[in-house]
Amino acid sequence: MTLIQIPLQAKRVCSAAPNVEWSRLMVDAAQEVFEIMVAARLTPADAADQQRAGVTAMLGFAGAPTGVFSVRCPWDAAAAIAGRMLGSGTEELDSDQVCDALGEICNMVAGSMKTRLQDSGAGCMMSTPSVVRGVDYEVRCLACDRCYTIVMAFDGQSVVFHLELQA
Amino acid sequence: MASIRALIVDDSAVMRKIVERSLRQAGIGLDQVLEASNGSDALDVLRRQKVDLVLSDINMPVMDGLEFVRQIAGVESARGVPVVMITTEGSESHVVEAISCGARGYIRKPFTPEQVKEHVLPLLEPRS
Repeated sequence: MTLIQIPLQAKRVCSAAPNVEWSRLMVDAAQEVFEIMVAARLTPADAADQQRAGVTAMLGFAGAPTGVFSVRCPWDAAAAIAGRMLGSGTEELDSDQVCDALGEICNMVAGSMKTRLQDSGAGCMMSTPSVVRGVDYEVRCLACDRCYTIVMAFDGQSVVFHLELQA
Repeated sequence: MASIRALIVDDSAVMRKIVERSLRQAGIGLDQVLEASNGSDALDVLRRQKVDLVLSDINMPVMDGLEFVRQIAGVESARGVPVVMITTEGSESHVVEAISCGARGYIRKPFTPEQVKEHVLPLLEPRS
């Protein structure tokens, strides 16, 4: 198993109580991005329905707030997302395009969240996204102390949006 | 409107394809599409080839989109070419900064082909 130690917690169960506003922010941003760029409607799913992630896209942001945002899903879901974004069949895509597409989804959802936050006076810098692919890896939080997770359904598969924040 | 030569600058190859497709869906005739993955490479492209339109991301490695727009003024063959930023950075301060650097338009990701048409077409019409 590969252990990736960056400020992110992808597989562990979060103990922090969910904050309704942060979760709402993620849901609104994720649905906006999927409706416009993927031409698909994300629907809320039960956390128990999470499927094993095959790929995770993540980026960091610094300022107010500081933390890490990630999107993870099964590889087939990521390929379907990429196919819909590019208007092509999944069989025509290579793995770089699938990773690239999920990275852009992560980037756009985080950007949409950031824009909505700036309306309330917050301001932060965003990094470019990174993507990890694999079936047996764990990403651990080192510095963040609050996390919020939403599970959405896309094309019968789960897409998990995860936000970790520093105090 | 005559077909144009466009330069699309984004570190994501997928996003470059999406931007190109959106231009076509917006009814903008593309004679040729040139691509670059950061501002520095884009400047190299502009020094070699004339283009009618530049669409650029902001957050990119090596040289970001704002610095790229600032440096376009130093490329004689690219002076006056309209630059439209297409970026996840949607705050008013970013828009103001991009415009002050020389950008002529600003589109926030996620975007629709209609938004591309709305922001890009007025910049091209005087050249048709």
